[in-house]
Amino acid sequence: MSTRVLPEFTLIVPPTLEAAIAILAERPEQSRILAGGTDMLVEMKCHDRGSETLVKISRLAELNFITYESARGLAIGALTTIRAIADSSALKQNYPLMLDAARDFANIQIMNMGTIGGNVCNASPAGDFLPCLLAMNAEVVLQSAAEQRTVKLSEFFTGPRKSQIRPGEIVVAITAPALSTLHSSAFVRFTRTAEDLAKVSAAVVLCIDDGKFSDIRIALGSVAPTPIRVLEAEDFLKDQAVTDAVISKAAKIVQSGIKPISDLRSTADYRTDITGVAFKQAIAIALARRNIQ
Amino acid sequence: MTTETRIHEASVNQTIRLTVNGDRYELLVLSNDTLLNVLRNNLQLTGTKYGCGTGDCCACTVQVDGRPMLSCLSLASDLDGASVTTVEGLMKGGNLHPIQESFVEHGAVQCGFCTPGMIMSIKSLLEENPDPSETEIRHYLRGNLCRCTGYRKIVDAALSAAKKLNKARDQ
Repeated sequence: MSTRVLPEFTLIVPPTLEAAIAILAERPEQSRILAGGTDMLVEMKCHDRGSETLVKISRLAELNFITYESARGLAIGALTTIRAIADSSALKQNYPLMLDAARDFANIQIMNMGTIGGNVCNASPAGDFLPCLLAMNAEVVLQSAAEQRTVKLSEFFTGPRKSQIRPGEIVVAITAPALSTLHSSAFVRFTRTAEDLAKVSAAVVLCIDDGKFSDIRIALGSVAPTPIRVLEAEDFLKDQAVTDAVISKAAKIVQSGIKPISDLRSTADYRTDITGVAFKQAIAIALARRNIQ
Repeated sequence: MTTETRIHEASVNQTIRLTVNGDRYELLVLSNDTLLNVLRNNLQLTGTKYGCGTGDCCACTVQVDGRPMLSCLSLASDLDGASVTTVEGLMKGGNLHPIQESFVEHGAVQCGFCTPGMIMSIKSLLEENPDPSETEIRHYLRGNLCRCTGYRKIVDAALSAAKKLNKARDQ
C-alpha cells in the first residue's frame, strides 16, 4: 500500500447527468461513481482497489443546489459541498443542526471537496450528516436510466457502508419536509481530536407546544452498524412536559436502546455514557435556539 | 465545460491545460495522477508536500480556483482548465508574501514540512475573512497538522499577517 500513488483506473467524465446515467446503464456492475473523492480515493489508496471504471460527476452543476420553500420543504443536490451547506442561509434559518454538522466537519479543505451525496452514499455509521438527515425525516432521490425513485433515509442504510443503491443508480438529491416556525434542532458530536470521526453523535429536531414536546425526533451516529433513530425515547417524550427529570429519563432510554462497539476511538461503555451526554446537550441547544427565535 | 463525455483510459497519457501560479501549461497526465504528484514530479514544484496522502494532515494544501483543497486527493485529469496556486506562487518581485514574512518574523517554522500547507490555508482564510480572531484562525487551521507542535507561533504569524495585509489595503 502506498498513499502516494493511486491504483490504475479508467476515468469517465460525463458533461451532464443524462450522460452519466447513460454510462452507468451501459456498464452498471463495473462503474463506481466518484464525487468529491475524499473518502473513495483514500479507500482506493489504502486497499489498492484499482482497475475499475470511475465516473467522475463532481462538476455536474445541475446537482449542486440548495432550495427551500415552506410549502415543498428542502432539497439539497447530491453534489452540494459541505462548505456550501456551512454557508447556506436557508439551512441556517430552517435546519440549524445541518450547520452544526457542517461547521466542524473534518477540515476546511475536505469541506471544499466533499459532498452531501458522498456522505450519504458512503453510509458510514459515523457520517456526521446522517443523524441530522434522519431526524429531519429526509428522503433520498435516486435516478437510473429506467426510473426515478425515492427511498426514506430511515430505510436507506442496510449496514456499515451498505445502502439500498442499486447498480446503475445515482443519488441526485436529498429532500426533507419543511418544519414549522416553532420547530428547533441541534446536532452534537464528540470526537478525539477536532478532525477525527465522531465517537458518538446526536441530532434532535423538536417542537414545544404549551410546555410539552409536541414533536420530537432523535437520531444517533457511531453507536450502531448504521445511523439510527431512537423511537422508544421519542415515544416516551411525546406530550411530556419539558423538565430536567423528563429529559434525564429520556437520556436513560436513549442509552438503553443502543449497542455501540469498542474500537480504537472509545470503549462501548464510554460510548454509552457519552451518548446520554450528547443527547442532553443537543436537547439543551435546540431548546435555547427556540427561545431566541 | 465541454459537452462531450471525456474518457481517460488507464495507463494512457492525456493532455490537460492547467494554470499554475499564473503560468499556463499543457501537461500529459494519467487518469490516476494526483495533482500533488503532477506539481512535484512534472513541474518540479516541490514546495507542496506529501504528508499522509489520505487527507488527514493538509500538508499538500494548494488553492484550486481560489479555494484550499488537498492536492493528494485531487485528480489532475479532472482539473483540465483549472487554476492552481502553490506556495511558490506567493513571492512577488523577489519579495516574500506578507504571510511568509510573518512566519519568518515569528519563528513559526520549525522543521518546515507543514509550512507550505499552513501558509496556503492562512492565505485562503485571510482572503475569506481579513480580520480573523485567534479562535477563527485555529478553527480554520484545524486540519493542518504541525508535528513539531509549533502552533502558537503559527497562530501569531497569522494574526500579524492579517494586520500587515489590512494595513497595506488601507494605504
